[in-house]
Amino acid sequence: MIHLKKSWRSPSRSPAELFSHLVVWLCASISVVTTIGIIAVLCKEVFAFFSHVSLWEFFTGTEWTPLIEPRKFGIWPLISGTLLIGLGASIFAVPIGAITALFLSEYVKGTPRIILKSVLEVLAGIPTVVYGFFAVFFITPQLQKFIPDLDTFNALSAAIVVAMMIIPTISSISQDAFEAVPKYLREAAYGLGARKYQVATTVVFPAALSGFVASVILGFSRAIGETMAVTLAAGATPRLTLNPLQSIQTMTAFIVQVSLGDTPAGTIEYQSIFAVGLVLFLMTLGANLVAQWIVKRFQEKYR
Amino acid sequence: MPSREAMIEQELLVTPRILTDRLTVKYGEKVAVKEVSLSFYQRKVAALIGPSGCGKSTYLRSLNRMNDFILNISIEGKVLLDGQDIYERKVDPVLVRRHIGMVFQKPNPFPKTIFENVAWGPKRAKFPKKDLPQLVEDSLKQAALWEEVKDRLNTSALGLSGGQQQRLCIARAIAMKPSVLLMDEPCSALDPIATSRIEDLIQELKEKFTIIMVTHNMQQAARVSDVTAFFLHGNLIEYGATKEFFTRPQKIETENYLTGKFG
Ligand SMILES: Nc1ncnc2c1ncn2[C@@H]1O[C@H](COP(=O)(O)OP(=O)(O)OP(=O)(O)O)[C@@H](O)[C@H]1O
Ligand SMILES: [Mg+2]
Repeated sequence: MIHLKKSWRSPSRSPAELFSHLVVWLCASISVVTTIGIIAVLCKEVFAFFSHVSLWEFFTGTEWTPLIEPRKFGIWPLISGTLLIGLGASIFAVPIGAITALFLSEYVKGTPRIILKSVLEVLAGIPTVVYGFFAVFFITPQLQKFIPDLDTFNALSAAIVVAMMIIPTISSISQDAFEAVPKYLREAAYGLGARKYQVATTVVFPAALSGFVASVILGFSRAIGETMAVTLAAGATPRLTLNPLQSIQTMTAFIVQVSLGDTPAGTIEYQSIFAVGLVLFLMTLGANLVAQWIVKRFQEKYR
Repeated sequence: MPSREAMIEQELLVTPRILTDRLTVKYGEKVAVKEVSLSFYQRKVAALIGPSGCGKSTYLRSLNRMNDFILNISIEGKVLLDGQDIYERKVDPVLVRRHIGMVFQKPNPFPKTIFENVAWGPKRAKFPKKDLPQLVEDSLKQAALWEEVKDRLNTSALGLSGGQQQRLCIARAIAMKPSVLLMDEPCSALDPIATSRIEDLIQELKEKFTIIMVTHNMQQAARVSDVTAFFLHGNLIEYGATKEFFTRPQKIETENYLTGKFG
């Protein structure tokens, strides 16, 4: 007979336990400290920026010319450029991503499903600069055959190529969500004499809504945060417009432009990139809040 | 001279509503159901019993082509619904499932409202929208659930108790007006009171539907069924009127099973 030694000492006091607690705390605090650091730096420069430019000008101005005289710091051209790409890409990517995911989770079984999913995930791993090239040297020339007044650098090609980049993100995460819908719900539906597309659209999709919305938000955040491909394909012309045939500038592209130039730290154009960065961050945050609301409102909870 | 309906009715009592003819089901190489021939009649409840893994569920799910979704399953023999082989090439399995409803072991309502649950199947089958409320009410009444839920039709079905959920699943199935109702251990997730309500319900439903149920509970089979079939290792061992079956089993295997000598 083996007896477990009785001990009343709390196990959390043992050295191994204490050590592992320490490691966990350390790792957790590193990410917290980093986040706080980033916000602190951001805020410092943003405060400096707003001591030169009024909030009013920044948030109502319709011209953005920080690098040429007379300097104007109206954020709207950058916001419109960013949204043009973000929403434009989503218009293509959300339906295609959702249908791809439903197709893979409901219509394809076994090995073909695994192969197709891996192919999509490889697409997500292609460097973004390659997508940028692809837009400039392939998509734009092709589109110009149909749309003669399309600029060399334009929002449309950029949106298309960004859509291609975020389709794998959306479809892969959605597919996981769709596949996680319990089998017993599908059985109930098929047992009632439903067709596959009916099960996919009226049972699987509503039950996996939160996963789908999460994938869309992640895709959208990637789209508005995307830098390289957009800088290459859409150009650097801050312009308050919703016309996708022209060259525009997104927030990220502006940040790249300033960072790559020889702008000394402490100048107002240097500080402006922090203000722009903060707005971008707030936009992503806003998208997340909207998503949470959508999920709360429409999700069908199956547990 | 009897009326036409009465004659059809009479006819159905003597010709099987659904039957299997040497039905064999294999998962890959593994034989789960072996050459089972059985007939099920109108207004009769049939119980399928047998030890775990003997192929009851496999057999039941072959009757409405729910097994079609399983990879590398193979099915031989015939399943005739009102004389039509449901495995014939020209037959659409989706339509088969509209004629042969199914209730599962674990209550599985959709995460939708009570109304939507019952209306879901008919809607998919293009049932006229304006008649839906009446159909939902009738189905819930037939499933003995109407009184309990009539004031909360637009609340989530997941707020119901397990027994209520199972009756909702029955209502949902009969809203399709099937001719056969398959039930795979419909009470195994329920407490004794909910179980007895479902058993009473089955007694009422058998007036309208041919019911085939799998059960592990032999008292239940004795209480609710008119005929009983005993399966063992994929073989049909014995099939007969329930009373005879439990009092004077013909086969030694059946007797052993009933007396608990194995299982
Ligand atoms: N999808 C499947 N793939 C392979 N084998 C299966 C599959 N489903 C069932 N089987 C096997 O087929 C045999 C019959 O299974 P089935 O589920 O029909 O038994 P059952 O009589 O319903 O048992 P229980 O009373 O436990 O529900 C079992 O040996 C089981 O392991
Ligand atoms: Mg079973």
